[in-house]
Amino acid sequence: MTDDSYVRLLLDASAITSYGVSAAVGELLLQLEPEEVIPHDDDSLDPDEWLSFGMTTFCLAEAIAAGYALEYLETLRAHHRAVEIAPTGSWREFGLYLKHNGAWTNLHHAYLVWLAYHLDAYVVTRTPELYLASDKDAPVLLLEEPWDQ
Amino acid sequence: MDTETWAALTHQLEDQVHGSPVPDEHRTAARRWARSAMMRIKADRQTPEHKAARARALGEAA
Repeated sequence: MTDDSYVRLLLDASAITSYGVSAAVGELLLQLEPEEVIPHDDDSLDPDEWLSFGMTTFCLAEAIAAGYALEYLETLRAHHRAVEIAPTGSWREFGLYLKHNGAWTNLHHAYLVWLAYHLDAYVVTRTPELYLASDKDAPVLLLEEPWDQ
Repeated sequence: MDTETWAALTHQLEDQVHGSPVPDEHRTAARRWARSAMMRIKADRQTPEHKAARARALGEAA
């Protein structure tokens, strides 16, 4: 796992496969840039000024399985604030979370929500109901297509 | 890849998927929504409800 300290957005498979299809994904990720460019080694930096987005390796695999073009996936991964997260490293903490939150039926959805709590991030998704059904407080952000409204 | 290059590639990809250049009003609306979403997230992270839910989820796992 690379440094995920400043991950504020976690893209689930529905958000990943919306990249390129909906301008909302690209614009959201461009919002991770601070207003002014500040050198990375500036210790006085406010962490909120340098945010990243995460994608679990499971979500990336799920996107491929859904037929999402590898070429698009590579462009998304090329964003310099993209962090790939392998779910195997935190199995103890996740296991304890599951033990006390038994409503989950989908392990990967549960993992994304636990990860969001852990990183104080938000799951970006087209299907928030999949998460809210098992945790009404789950930190999720509905990916909208604002021009349809 | 620097941000400008990534943004240009993303716009190119979106145009390709769309089959024609994505209308400016779509991009403007998407940008407005994205800014608003990030501000909502930043504000929500400070609310007692969010902090309590997070503490509950992580506390129970501790």
